[in-house]
Amino acid sequence: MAEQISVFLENKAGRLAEMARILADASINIRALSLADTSDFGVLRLIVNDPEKARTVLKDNGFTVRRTEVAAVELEDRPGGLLAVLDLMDDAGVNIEYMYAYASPRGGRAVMIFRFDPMEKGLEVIEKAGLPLMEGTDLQAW
Amino acid sequence: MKRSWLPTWARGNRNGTGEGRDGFPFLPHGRAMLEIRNLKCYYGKIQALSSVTLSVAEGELVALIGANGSGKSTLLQAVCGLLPGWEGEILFKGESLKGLAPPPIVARGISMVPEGRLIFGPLSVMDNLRLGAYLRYRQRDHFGIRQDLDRMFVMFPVLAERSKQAAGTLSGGEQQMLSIARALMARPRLLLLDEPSMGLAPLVVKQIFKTLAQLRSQGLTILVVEQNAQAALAIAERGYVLETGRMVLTAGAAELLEDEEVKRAYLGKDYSQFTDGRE
Amino acid sequence: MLETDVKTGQYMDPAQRLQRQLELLQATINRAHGTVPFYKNRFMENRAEPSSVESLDSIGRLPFTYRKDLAEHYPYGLFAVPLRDIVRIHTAPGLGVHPVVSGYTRQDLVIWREIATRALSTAGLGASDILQICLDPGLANWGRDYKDAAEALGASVIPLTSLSMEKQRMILADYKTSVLSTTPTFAVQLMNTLLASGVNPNELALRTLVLAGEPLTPETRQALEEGLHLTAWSHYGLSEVPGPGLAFECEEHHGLHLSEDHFLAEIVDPASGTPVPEGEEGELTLTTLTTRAFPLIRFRTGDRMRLIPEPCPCGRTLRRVQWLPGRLDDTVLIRGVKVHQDQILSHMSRVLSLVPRHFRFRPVRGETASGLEVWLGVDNDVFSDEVKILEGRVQAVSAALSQELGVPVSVRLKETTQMGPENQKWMPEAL
Repeated sequence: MAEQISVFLENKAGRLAEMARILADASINIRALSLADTSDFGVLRLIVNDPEKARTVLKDNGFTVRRTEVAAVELEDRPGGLLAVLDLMDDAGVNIEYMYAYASPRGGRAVMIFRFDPMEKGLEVIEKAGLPLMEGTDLQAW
Repeated sequence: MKRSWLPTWARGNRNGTGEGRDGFPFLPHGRAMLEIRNLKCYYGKIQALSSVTLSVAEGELVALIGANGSGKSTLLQAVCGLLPGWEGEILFKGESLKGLAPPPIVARGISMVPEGRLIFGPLSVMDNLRLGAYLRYRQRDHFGIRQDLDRMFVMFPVLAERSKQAAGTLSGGEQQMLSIARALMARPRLLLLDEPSMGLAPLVVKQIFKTLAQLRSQGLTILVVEQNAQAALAIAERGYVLETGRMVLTAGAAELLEDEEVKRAYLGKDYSQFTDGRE
Repeated sequence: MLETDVKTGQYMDPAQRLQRQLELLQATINRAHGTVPFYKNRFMENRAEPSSVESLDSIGRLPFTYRKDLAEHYPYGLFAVPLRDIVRIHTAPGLGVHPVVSGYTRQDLVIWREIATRALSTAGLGASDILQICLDPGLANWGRDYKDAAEALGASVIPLTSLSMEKQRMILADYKTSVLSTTPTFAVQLMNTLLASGVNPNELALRTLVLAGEPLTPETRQALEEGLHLTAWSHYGLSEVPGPGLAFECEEHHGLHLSEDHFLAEIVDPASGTPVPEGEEGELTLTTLTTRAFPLIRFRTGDRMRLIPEPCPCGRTLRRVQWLPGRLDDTVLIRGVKVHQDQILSHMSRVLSLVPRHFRFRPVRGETASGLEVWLGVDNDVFSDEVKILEGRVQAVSAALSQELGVPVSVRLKETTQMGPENQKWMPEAL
């Protein structure tokens, strides 16, 4: 599994930029990002090259940060690749809490970040289907 | 009159008439006739009354109720000057009664109908009545006394019938009437009664209290102390409840008659236990 | 108490009133000391001897009673009569989890109805009137007391709580309401709604406003009287021992007459507890004189007042107070309901199953609505990766608080660094 960090942000002008600046100043590279927002607040989900450092530096600056384990699944880079995974989960009765794409520098590969409910069952389904699961270190290496 | 116990805004007049207390225009019950504040009495080491405060306004009939030993009679005795060592304040028409013996207190206009009547048995009814007016004899008010004797006989016809009989031969109820009439002979402004229903049959009690109500409607101010709360509250406007020397409740008489705790403690009792077998 | 007493109570000779107050006070103290363990213990702890109160001024020897004392002795710890004599129980939101429970004997109800009746009849309410009552659930018992009082005066009553502004407006017009009882805030909001929808005030039957729950400022009074072409009357009451009309305006509209035949009032310095010089402002402290079931001795109301020393031209000898805005305890008035920080926190903690470390509160008063805004700081305990969980928490807290407090509550999640100074938990009112 891969480590994702989630940050709580108010839906206020400048908060997102402030957070991005802090990470940039600490030389943290953002690999994947997803913002789930309501009218009042948002939860920003990040895959970064150095999760530990990112967490520390954000916390030092007063942000509330959580680590969450997510599944980074390498999909077949063709139409229907994602659908296949979704169908598998549906059949197994596993919910997808959220998902977002990962910018892979390697050509031809699409990596999707998933949070399953329940997580273990989702991972089982992925393994059984023989889809490649990327570890955190793999992601960071890219 | 010492008025330091009043806060600043109430001392002196507030309506610009330049008059003192007597000038207040708002006197629904008339001015205060009897004011008792923080009365304390001791029987040896026992504190019979503990900071008792009570008042009777002109023209009011006020009932003070409580069980045996609650201190009711002690209070009346203090007012009449029969209890030397009391502390606190007792004011009659604004003037303190502190240190006064009974005769000057009677002279000021307070008359007591004592517990147990205490009429003079061997003397005739007429003589008992005359004795009630002894101060006025000294003032040579013979005509006035004659008039009052006639009034008493009108109010209490049974006394007229038995005017020459020895008072000791009268029934309990008749003696109570005599005691009241005797007290009235002093032409009091304030009449105090200590347990007038004691030892009397219910029908007689009714008669006595009817008489008191009549007297009140004629303008007499009355403070009646009673264990028979029902009878007293039925004719009173306001009441006070004394419990082991402390005032615990004061309200309109109608309200007290409806009060659950008063009902439980003082109303609806069988009073034969208090009649001592007399009557 | 008879009808004559109601009248004489208002116009009694001041010196006679002081004598009566002393009598009633001593009886109340003796009863409270004798039958309520809370007071007995309190007096003992403070070495206060009940019989030492020999004048109204020396009531200062007795300790104060605070709102939190009432909540701590849930449910019946402060009752002075046996439960079987209680005919009505009233609950008001307490400071913590427990509500404050007070009770009435049959006689207490009679007294309270008379207090409310004379306040309403002074405002001119009579048999030909239709009274509409718009008070929040947090003040529901006042609605009931006003209703009973109005009915005693022969008026018709439309008792309403928690209806939408729109419905209130409709009923006001369609049912020809002549007297409206509500809070000053709500009255202003209703007026704005009416005027915005083009209603001509002269077409309404409304001629009297009875306003309770908050002080009525001169500006608000003027706005209401000019905007709606009516007369406004201000009333004061306690929510713990309800109800309304404890102090009420007379036709002079200069201060509120205290029901001194039923209460002993002191104005004390909130910090030191000593009485302030006459005419200066301080905290209103009340001692009940005629209440049987639930006597209060030197109860600190948290309301800011000053005594008006001069006698009133109306002839009533009940002294007047000027009710000033702002509170002197840690509570805030929202739509007339007192809300305390501890109350909010305890409900939040219960719903979230954790004690929030970062929070702020803000009363909100808008053109047409008002309530409470709660800011909940999202720290690691509160945060969740899933938006639906966060939203669920917002929902649960605002629903619980709205219900418990009886006023509308909205909850906003905030970053912990974006909440303003730590020591200012109550933010200024938002408009």
